[in-house]
Amino acid sequence: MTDDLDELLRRSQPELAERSPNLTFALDDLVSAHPVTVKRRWRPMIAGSFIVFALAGGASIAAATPGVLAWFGWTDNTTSYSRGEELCNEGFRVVSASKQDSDSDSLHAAREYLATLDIRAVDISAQLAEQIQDGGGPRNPESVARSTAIYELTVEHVASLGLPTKDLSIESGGLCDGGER
Amino acid sequence: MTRASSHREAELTSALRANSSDLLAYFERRTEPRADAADLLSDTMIVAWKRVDRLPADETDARKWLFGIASRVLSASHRASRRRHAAVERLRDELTRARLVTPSEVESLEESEHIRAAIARLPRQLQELVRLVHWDGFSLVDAATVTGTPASTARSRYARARELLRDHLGQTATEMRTTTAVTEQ
Repeated sequence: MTDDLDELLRRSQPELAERSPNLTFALDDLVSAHPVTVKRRWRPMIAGSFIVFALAGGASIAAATPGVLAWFGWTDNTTSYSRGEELCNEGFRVVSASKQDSDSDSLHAAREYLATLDIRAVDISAQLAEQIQDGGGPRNPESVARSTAIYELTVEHVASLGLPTKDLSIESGGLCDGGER
Repeated sequence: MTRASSHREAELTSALRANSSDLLAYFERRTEPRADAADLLSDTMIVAWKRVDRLPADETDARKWLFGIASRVLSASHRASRRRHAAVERLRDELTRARLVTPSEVESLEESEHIRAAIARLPRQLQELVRLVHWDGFSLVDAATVTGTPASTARSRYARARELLRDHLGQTATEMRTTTAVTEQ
């Protein structure tokens, strides 16, 4: 039976795309493209770190809305997601990393960009994988990954406008209904 | 850029060139639609470039390291809309247009599909071990490294997977033997 099972499993391999010259060329192109397009490793400054308010009780469901985030000052953009049985709302805003200049062209451009960014559509796969690769990871990996991805996109946008990005930072905060942390 | 980091990057480029087709195959075997394999490969490369300082010097270890990243990228993947690099778009197009090739080991597409369905019914961690060993050609010890699992745990999980697959596929194996016997008569 062992031999049969090995044989069966060996014969279960899915079909693959033919490695045609065109596909091989596209693959080589991808390998060659990355060194020039991937930025050096960096850590975004998430100035206020991540703040999660654990609200207990039924009323917290109503309280934990984007409106509450706005009340706390999280006005640039917000998103919602489920974490287990909890419903979380998370907000992001652009701040000056140095806290010295809150009105620069870079900050304005970054805020405009973040305000219109579809946060739910931001792909966080690479950032999540990076955290897992580091081992352990933060307590709320998706939030940190999302902050990191948003920071990357915002910096890329501001840089594309020819503006300095050194002083940009993203703050994030969240509210989840129920649950003890 | 220092000479050392430049050297590491050259080593990573070389490792990616040597393994990119197999990494693509790894994602192709596990992703639907097939074109998404291009995005996942790109994510794997991004993580590898960001972690270039951790690239093992040994080629075999580097391969396992890359597949380990690929495994984590796959488990972390979200099907959100993506902003794609032009090179990723090209590879997606090629994957969509490409003729599909059935591996030489496969004798019947129906049987192959049936076995894959049995593998897919296993608990997730067990599925990945079975696929790494039987589809991607890793030894069980190397598959343990790729998945970041202690070898002893991988061994017991793999044994459990085989036990479950024997149950699921016992009927298939019997039918297979019968069919072969009838054909040979």
